[in-house]
Amino acid sequence: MDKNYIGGSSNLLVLSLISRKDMYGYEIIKELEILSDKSFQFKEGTLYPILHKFENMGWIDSYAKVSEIGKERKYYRITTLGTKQLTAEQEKWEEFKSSVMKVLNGQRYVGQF
Amino acid sequence: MSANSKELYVANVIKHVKFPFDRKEIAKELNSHIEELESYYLETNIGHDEAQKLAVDEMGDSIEIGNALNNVHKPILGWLWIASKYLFIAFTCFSIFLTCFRTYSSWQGSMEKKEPTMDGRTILQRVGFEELGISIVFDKTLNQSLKLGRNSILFERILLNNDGTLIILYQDLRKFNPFGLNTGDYPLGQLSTIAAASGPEIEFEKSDINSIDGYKLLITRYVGNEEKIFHFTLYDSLNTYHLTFKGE
Repeated sequence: MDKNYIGGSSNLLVLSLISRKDMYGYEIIKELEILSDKSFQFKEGTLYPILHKFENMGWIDSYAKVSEIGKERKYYRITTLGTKQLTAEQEKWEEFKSSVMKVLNGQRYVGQF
Repeated sequence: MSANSKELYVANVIKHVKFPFDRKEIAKELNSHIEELESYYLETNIGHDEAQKLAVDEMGDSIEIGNALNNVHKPILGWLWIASKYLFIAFTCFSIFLTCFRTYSSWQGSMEKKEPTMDGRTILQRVGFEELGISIVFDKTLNQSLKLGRNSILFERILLNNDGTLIILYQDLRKFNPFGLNTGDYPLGQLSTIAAASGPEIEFEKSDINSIDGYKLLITRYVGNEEKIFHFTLYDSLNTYHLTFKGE
């Protein structure tokens, strides 16, 4: 899929993944790949500006955790504000989806004609 | 170090981030991501250098990512955040220090028992009674305290004059209060009335002189001092206190 498509929905996708469990950057990318059956593939470094923006907005926060193999990883977890944002993003997405569908189905608003 | 090495890549990304304090953390995170990718590629049985090259390629354009990161790590906001954090810490420490210091010193001050060194005549002079031709009938050191809630008042000295005025020198003894809530003077002034056993209730008179020789001053009138036993009832808004002074 064209990576430009991801731009608009990255908020929804990333927030939604983090809302399920606390995750680190690499894990988020891999999860996206698996869940989308590799439809969403983009340059992996571009995830970090998104994550750091979310952190600035207060939607997520982060903490360091050492893995079983002794690697320190930066985990992200969703905040209350982030959960609210996720709901808003979902609504925006539903609205967008139904607008696209209206055009594709060719239905007109029948009323005042 | 080859041109594709991860160190070079990470350095190329973070050099676009203008806020210096965030660079280390970003570098750590990117580096850890590249290492994950590297170990993934190493499992496909390719060489170390090749794995590192593929991992770095997978990350994307260093300028594009560097600039995007710079946009979310704004220098002004970052500096403001750091400045406000340190200001807050400094202010908190200062307030705690000030509170402790003030509480402790006021407590210590109130615990010091001052000896009244002044003689009775000087006290009359200071209050302005001497000019009115008033003289002392008796002057007694009491050293008697009255408990008022957590605190107490130490009545140190009582002077009875020939016109029936009574001068009482007292001192507040406050319990040490680490929270600094009890900063005001002890409210003997809030004790609205004083009643002598053999006389009517008398209002406290306010003295122009607040203290003599480190003691606070209470000037009141006393009627009927024949037996030289002064029994007072003190009222404040909540309680009634009883106090007896023996004159001789």
